[in-house]
Amino acid sequence: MLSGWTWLFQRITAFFLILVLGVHFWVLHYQNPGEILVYADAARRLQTALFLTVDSLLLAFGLFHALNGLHNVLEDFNVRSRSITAVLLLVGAGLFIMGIYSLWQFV
Amino acid sequence: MTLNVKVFRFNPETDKVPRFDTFKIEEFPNMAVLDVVMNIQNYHDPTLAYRCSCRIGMCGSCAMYINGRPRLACRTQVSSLGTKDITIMPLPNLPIIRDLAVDMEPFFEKYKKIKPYLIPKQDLKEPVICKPDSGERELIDYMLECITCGACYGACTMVATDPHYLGPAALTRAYCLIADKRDAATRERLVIVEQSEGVWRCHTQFNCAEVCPKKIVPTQAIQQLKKRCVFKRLGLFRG
Amino acid sequence: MYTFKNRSQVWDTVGMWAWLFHRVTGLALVFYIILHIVLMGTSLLRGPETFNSVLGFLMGSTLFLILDLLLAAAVLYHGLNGIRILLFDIGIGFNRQKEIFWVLMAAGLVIYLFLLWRVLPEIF
Repeated sequence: MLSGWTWLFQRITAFFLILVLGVHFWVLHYQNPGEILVYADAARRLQTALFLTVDSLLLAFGLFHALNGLHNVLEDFNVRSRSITAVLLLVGAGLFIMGIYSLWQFV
Repeated sequence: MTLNVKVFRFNPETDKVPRFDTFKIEEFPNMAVLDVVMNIQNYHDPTLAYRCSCRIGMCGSCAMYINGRPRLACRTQVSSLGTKDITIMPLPNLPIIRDLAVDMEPFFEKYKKIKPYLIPKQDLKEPVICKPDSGERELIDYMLECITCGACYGACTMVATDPHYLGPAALTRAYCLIADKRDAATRERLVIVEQSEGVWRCHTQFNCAEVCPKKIVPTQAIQQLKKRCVFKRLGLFRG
Repeated sequence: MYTFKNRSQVWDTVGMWAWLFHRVTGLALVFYIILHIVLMGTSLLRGPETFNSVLGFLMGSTLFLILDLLLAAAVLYHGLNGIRILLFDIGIGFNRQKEIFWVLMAAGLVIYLFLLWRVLPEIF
């Protein structure tokens, strides 16, 4: 029974996302509106430890919050099965590995 | 003044689908919705089935879905509805016995799951002292006002989508006992409410609090339970 | 014997709609974040040329800017109502939940108008 842990982690990730997603949105969408993101800029940012750490955490926490949220919705509709949990875990792990691999290209 | 009353009718033994009957009822001063229902049964259609007993909001028998919300029919003044058109339906989320009478069995089955009675600690030598100014019974005392009318249960979307969810009333009762210093079955009850069908299904909609005739906020009781469940997981729970 | 339940819900409360919008935006964001990770991940891995052409195509289009504003609205709502939910979780605001909701929505409106003011000149 993981219900209590996932609930707590959903709150922790929520708190983090409220703070960091605001910054993420500002920097990448609204700080310079109309400016198109280019590879060189992304690469430069990802070479700094701060951006790499924050982006990695954003990837992990965002994925957990999203997929656990989806899991919650399914539970609300009385859909409870190990195979659904397993599929969500696999999707999450797959996306996380792909995301981390692409982010850490620049180290 | 004449009231236009639409009443939900369904007899499971003969009807395949429910229907609405319309009645014109003369309003009188201080008329409650229960008076409307009784009036219909007395003077218009004696076959109308509904449940009521005390008529003063303490037995919890006459909760119905009145103009879009579960309400206690005896404590809902017709004048408070702000319209002459009244639609009365049975309490949502419960199987219908006939017309406005629902089967409360699923509600009380869940109520029983949390062991809704005090299991006293046996090893106490002295009486438990709760100082009135300590605030430890601040929530418990007003939540004990619950009359198990089921209005919260009928208002909760989570109960509607997940038939196993314990629901606001049972969880509030569980909180009243778990937070009680004299209770010996605290951990046992926590194990029941911390399951997937327990506290985690509450998403702070507050529909239960909006409809409670006793102004209880079950959402807060459920939050207190969530807190204790998390503390228990972290090994920080005492009690 | 036919069993039947009244499936009517309560639709005239603030909390109901706050929850419903939270859920709808949440589900939309689940699909967005998956799309976002796949797109950004594959573009980064394929190197500068692919990345620049994909991002240039997307960020240069008006449709993208409009969709981006919708995304911002969903994130803003989900985040602000999320603050309200986190307050309940730490035991605050049970008797003021509607007021908290409207204060947060007012703040959201101000932030959103500010974003519109920054982005709309790029669209028109």
